[in-house]
Amino acid sequence: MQAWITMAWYELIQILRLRSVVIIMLILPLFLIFLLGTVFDNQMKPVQVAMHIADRGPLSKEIEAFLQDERTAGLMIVKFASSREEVLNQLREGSVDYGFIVPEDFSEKFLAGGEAVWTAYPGRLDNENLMAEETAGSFLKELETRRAIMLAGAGEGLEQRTESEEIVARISTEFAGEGKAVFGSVSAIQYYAGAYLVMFLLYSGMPAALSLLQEKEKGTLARLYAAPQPFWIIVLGKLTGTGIFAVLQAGIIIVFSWQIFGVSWGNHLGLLVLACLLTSMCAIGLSLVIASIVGTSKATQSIFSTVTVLMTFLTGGMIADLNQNVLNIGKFTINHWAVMTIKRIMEESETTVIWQGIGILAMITAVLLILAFARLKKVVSLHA
Amino acid sequence: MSMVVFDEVVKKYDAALSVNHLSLVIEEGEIFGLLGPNGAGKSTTIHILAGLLGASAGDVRVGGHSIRKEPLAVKRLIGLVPQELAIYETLTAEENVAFFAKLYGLRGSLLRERVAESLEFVGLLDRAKAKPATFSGGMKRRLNIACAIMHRPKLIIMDEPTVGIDPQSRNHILDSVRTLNKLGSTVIYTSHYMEEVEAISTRVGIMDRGRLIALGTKEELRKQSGQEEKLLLELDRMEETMLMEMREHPRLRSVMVTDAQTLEVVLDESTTALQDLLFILHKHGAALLKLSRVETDLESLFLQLTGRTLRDRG
Repeated sequence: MQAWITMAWYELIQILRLRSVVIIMLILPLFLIFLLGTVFDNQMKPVQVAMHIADRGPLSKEIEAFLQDERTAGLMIVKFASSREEVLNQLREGSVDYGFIVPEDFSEKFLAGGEAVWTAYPGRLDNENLMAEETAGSFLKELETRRAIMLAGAGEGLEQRTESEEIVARISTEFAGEGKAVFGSVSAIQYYAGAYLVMFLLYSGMPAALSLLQEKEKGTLARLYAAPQPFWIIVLGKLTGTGIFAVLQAGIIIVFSWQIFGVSWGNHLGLLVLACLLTSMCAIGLSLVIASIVGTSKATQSIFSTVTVLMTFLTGGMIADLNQNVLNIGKFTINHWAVMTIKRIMEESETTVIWQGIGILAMITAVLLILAFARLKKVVSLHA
Repeated sequence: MSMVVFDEVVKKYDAALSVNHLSLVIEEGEIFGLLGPNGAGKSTTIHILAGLLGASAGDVRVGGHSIRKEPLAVKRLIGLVPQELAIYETLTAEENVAFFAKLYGLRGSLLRERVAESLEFVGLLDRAKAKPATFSGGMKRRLNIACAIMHRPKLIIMDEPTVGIDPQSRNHILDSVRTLNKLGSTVIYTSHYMEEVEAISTRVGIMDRGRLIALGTKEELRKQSGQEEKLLLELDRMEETMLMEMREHPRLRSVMVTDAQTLEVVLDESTTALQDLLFILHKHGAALLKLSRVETDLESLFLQLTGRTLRDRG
């Protein structure tokens, strides 16, 4: 027990004393999460809109449903006003960026074949104006399309066929482009926080193999073998040290991104920790398997880094808006299952859904660790 | 009392025998020098003894414990100074020693005391807080030794501990070996450097191609090999007829003029050879100004036994 603790402690000390490791493994992920998350979040920051719906006709409920949908909220945050004056007041005060009024006869005119028009009150900011107009415009355009279909007699009545969720989804896809739809139901910064947490957790598993190989390359392995301790305790201690570093790294990324960048990690802390641990153990297993094949620390480092970057890329960790075919290939990576599980935790999905992801991650971990264990002798043998 | 007993130890790598039925007893309190060229099986022997490698057959007992049956008990008795610098560059000198000491079960005040003692012994106590990256090659070698002696082992194995260091550090290490031996440790010392082994060893074993080909004190080895005696004679005069008579004498194996007044003569083992040599000098009226014996070194002994030098490869 004491030897195990000693090994783990000194392993951790040695990792933390390498300045390059601290910079790359602890500071770089925070910087990347901030950089990418901020860039993409700026492009899709929702516009504040004041809206007065004077119409009490058959379309008013549809309009309200669209505006109140949480996915619309990612593009346009609506403050309902009781009158035109209130809309203008809010615009003047600067509490909103844009104003809309849905005319009293909107439903009546529209259903009679008239143009779908809301009265618009642009604000002072061009980008926000554009965003509000595009969002509302997409909705109105969709209504017109549906009306055309109805008039052509190809379907049922407009009221029955207009489904707000479908419209919202279409608007999101068409308008947002690189916005929220690309990242699914999480924000850009959440998306990148999850992707980079997984990528750097994978990196944090690499020192396990490198450290064992370097013991051999630098001659200290002989002295460890000569120590009056079962060798498996020494190996376990070293792997534990790497594992502690990974937990530390995950903790720093999660706490910093949450406190400083406002990333929401959901409310299943225990499951999040479990997902991180499994990802880290996957990485340790993978690094040992690679080390057992290539045999040197330099080659292991190169191959493991390449594999990690490739897996991150294939799962959209670098470019979110990847071709679906590429993303399909990404499903065969550790990152896919780790990121998906973490995203589900962020989304606060049902626990059973999160456990499904964790279960698959656990199976991948088990396979990699069994392979690593079977080939460990190749890594730690003095005379191989 | 026997400290180390090798009993018919064999180590095979595929078909090749790296250690070939080695039987050897090293007594407590010895400084045992193990010599041999690269590939002779020295390191494999050392690794089997230290529990780093399993023997294909046979057994080794250290302090009465079998390496096969009680490997941890054997390891507790041993301090290994590997050929490579087995120290961590990211840890300070003190942390390096403490780390290995903890693996030997040392804790608390005893740990602190032994760490300081070891560093003081190798002359690095004042650099305890420094990292090895700032050390010279000799200082790193000394730290390498400190990491092996902090648990006061009964048997210290030093595998080429002076490779690539300056003469001052080498002397420091050799003095350390003698001191450790005086303090009660048995030492097994391997080296390529003949003079080191000759200087400190109480007994020497010579290995070649996995076998122990010679064993004993230096004197015993010389006698075992039936080696001739080499003399240097400084004369007042040198005559060709005298030299011819010497070269024709059956008990004088070789006669060589090294300078105007000096002869190098190799005698056979008979007790009368020297007497015959002196007679020839007297007959030719040559006065002997100085007579000295050329000491037989282990290098030439090894050459005689194997036909190779100790630094030959393979």
